[in-house]
Amino acid sequence: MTRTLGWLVVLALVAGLVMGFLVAPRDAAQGNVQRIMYVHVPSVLVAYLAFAVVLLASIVYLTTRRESADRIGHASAEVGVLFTGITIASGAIWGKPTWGTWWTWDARLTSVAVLFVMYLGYLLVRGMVDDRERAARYSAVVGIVAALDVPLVHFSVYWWRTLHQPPTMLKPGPSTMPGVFAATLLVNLAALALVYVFLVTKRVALLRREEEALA
Amino acid sequence: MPDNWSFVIAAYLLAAVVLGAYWRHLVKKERELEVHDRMDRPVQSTQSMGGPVNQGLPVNQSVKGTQPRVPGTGHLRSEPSTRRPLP
Repeated sequence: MTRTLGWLVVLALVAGLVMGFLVAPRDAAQGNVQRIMYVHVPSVLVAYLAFAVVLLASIVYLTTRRESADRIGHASAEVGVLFTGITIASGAIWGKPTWGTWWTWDARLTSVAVLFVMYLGYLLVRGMVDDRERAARYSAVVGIVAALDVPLVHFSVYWWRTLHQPPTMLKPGPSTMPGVFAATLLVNLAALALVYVFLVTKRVALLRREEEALA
Repeated sequence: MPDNWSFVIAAYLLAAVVLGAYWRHLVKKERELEVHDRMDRPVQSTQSMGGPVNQGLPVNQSVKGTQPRVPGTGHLRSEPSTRRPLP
C-alpha cells in the first residue's frame, strides 16, 4: 500500500515538473519566475488541508480520547509546518525579483508567518510535556486555536490593503487564468497533496510503533 | 522582464531539500525502531531459565500454537477450584 502510494507520488511529482517546466508557457508579464507559483500556491493549499486535518483530529481527540486521532493530528501538523515553510520560502524567492524585496510585513505574509509559528508551538507543546495524555490534550487545544488563523490568512487579502495579490484558486466565480496555467497548478496541487498523504501515513505508522516501543 | 532562472531553480531545490530531509528523518526513525525491535526480541525470548517463554499463549498450548498439549504430558497447573488445602 505505502509502496504503491510512493510510486504514485513519484509519478505525480514528475508530471508536475513536466507541466511546470515544459508544458506551461513563460508568463508574459513575470517571465519564468512565475513558475515558482507551481510550488508556492499548491504548498499553501496543502498546508490549509493539513491544518484542517489537525483541527478535525483535535476535536475528535478531545471528545473521544482516541489515540489514533491524536497521532493523525500530530503527523498532519508536522507535515503542515513543512508545507508552510516551503510556502514562505518560495514566496520570498519569488518576491525578490518581482516586488524587489524578500519580505514585507503585509497582512498576508504576516498572517502566514503567525500560522507557521503557531503550529511550531503545537509541536513544541507536544515535545515539552512529558505525560503523553496531557501533551495530547494541550496540543489538541492549540490545534483548534491555531486553526482560527487559516481563514485570516486566506481572507487577509480582501480585508486589508496588501501587496500580495488576491487568491488565484479557492475564490468565488470562474477562474480568470488561462487553461494551461490552471491545469499546471492543479497537477502540482494533486502531486503535493499525494506527498502530504504519503508522509502523514508514514508518520502515523511510525508514531504508533514508537508508542508500542515505549509501552 | 529577465528570466531569473536562478530564483526558479532555488525555489524548486529548496522545496525538494525540505521534503527530502523530512523523508530521510522518517526513514532514520524507522531504522531506529527496527533496531530497537531486534534488540528487544532476544530479551523477551529468554525471560525464563527454562528457555523461550510460551509467547503469550495459554499454558496448555504448544509454543507453535497449532496443537494443544495433551493433558498430563506437560506441567499443567490445577484450576484453583480443584485445589484442596493442605492438612
